[in-house]
Amino acid sequence: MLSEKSFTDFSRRVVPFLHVTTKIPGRKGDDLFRRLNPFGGFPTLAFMDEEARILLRLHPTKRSIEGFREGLALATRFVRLRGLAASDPGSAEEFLILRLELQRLGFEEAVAEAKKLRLGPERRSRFEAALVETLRRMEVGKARRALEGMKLSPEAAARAREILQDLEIRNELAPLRRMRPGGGEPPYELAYALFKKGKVPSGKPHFDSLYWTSLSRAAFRKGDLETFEAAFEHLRRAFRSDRSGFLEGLETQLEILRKKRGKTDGGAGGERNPE
Amino acid sequence: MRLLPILPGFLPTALGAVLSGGATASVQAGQTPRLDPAQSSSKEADRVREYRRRYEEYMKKSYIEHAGWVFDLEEARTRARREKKLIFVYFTRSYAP
Repeated sequence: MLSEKSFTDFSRRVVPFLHVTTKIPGRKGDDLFRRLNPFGGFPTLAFMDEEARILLRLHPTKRSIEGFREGLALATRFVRLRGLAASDPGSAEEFLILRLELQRLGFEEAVAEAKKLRLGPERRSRFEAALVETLRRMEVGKARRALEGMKLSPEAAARAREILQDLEIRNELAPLRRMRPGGGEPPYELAYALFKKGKVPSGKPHFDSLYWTSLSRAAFRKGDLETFEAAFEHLRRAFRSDRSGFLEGLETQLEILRKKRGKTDGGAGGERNPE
Repeated sequence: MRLLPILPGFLPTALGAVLSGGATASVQAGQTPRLDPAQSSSKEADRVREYRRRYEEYMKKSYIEHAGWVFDLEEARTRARREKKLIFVYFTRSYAP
């Protein structure tokens, strides 16, 4: 993509700066990445101002010309609002919301800053929508405590509840993410137990493939057709044609479960309901 | 097997020396083998040569010819100030494949 003409065209609107870390001892500036972006991984694409301050990092899903353009628009807006924030209350409010949206502010910091401003209803609503999203980066207990005593709009409160549940699900499924040195079977039934308790991930902003894949595996093993169908439906919608081989495998399993159900529902050899 | 309780750590280190080509000058029970300074600096020089080779290889990538990349941060900052533009930075690495 970086070799394409569309990128060359885009690059005229910015100063394109390439930094290659080499690990060659004594090479001038080789540690620049660690100095400017201490928590980042390779590759990082970002926008910086003339002071070499990183304004925003592009999410991997934004590594496209369209994503670069969107990023440039946001970074430009960031710089403009930063310049106006001290003298214009409206810009200060917009700057607060933008920093939240760009994940440059934490929950407590943002709440403290908002208290000093007089957010009108429209900005208050956008502020709360962005604020509750910061909970996704917190540990579930801390997120719960942060919300205590907060007066949120019904929409923001509903989203906060979704996020808390997502965090709980992430915690519960942590053993599925761990390496099993003995190569044992991952505990897929954890997802099954959550599903049976009605705990389902919100799917925002990203589809939780670990949950739904684990659920499908546990449901197949248990011969639970309805649960398998629910998992399959979510996986089918999420992946569509991207992982057709994986979906074909699930379809085969679905057929197996349906055939089994056909037999037990009165087919030859199946158990009949005595009633 | 009977040696294990007597010489803990010896077998793994000695075996390591054998597997690594026997480059270790001396290995004592319970100690990590150490390269002598000459061997150590030679290995370091090899590694640096390899990093240089990978960097030179990396810089031949076709995308680098496009878009007029700036390679010096100070130059990028000066241009950003002068042209009133933001810096679009691509941080990458050449040492890993």
